Amino acid sequence: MNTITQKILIVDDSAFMRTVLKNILENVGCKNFIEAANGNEAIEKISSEKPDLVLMDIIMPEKGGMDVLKEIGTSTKVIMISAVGQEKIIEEAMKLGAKGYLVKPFDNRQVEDEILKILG
Amino acid sequence: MIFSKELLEKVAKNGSEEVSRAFSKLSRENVSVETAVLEVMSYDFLINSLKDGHEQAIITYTQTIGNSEGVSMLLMPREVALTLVDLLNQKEIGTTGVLMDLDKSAVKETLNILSNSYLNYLSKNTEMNLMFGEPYMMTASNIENIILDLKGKNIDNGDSVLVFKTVLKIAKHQINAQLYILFNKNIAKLIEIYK
Repeated sequence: MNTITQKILIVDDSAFMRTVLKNILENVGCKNFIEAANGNEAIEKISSEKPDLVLMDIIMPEKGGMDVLKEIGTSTKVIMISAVGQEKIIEEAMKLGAKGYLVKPFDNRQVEDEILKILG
Repeated sequence: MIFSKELLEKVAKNGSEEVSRAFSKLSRENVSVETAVLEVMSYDFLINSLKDGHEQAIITYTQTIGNSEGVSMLLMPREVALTLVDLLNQKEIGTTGVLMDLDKSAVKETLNILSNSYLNYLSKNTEMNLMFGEPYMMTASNIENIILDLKGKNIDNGDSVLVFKTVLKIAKHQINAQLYILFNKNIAKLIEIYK
């Protein structure tokens, strides 16, 4: 099993989805993760915790994932994980600096592979 | 934006299959589409249809972002919601007896994924680019308010709503859930073409 020592931030307004992603991270040997439930919390945590990777939803209260991407630019590696799978949105996210985009529902393996790919 | 009758019926059929695939992936079970229909009906008829027999149902809903011209609802009996939560959490069926906050989050996320799967399909086959927003839970007594809110935003003041209805079934666990995708914008033109 891989061991990931990097710090990963999970951003999703769904507590259930944060739990799913936490389980996936534990499966790939990651124990260093933090959470945020909306875009504002995400911005705070990115600034204070300096995660190596962010897994982020798009539709969230207060501030959505696309607005977070616009604010942070390419300073942090981000994988978007969203139920929104429209090509226009995916293209926009990638142009704003996202390193990857996964559409829900996903196979756990897809998330694991994408995380390992982005973290190198 | 005008759609042909054929396109709308194709959306109803294929959109439902897309939703079924998403539900299969989410639940890790075999899901079948029991019903996939497209209907045009009056708001009053829709309200009464939705309220009838769903008094004790677990209901989640969401609205399209922006003009709020669409609503999605997922309705299921309480015992089905409990089974669904066990499936989503990969627990033994019968484990969940009461829906706690995390369980409600799982049901809401199910609506989020299923309803946006439908819109993802719509986006691939039309010029529509809509997204559903945050999901909420509600009781049957709120159905009328949600539907009347949708009616109130109808720019043509029409009294008809376009209803995509999908009934999803997981036979192995007696799960039967109804997904409604409702649209009102330019409904008069849609009806004209549909007739």
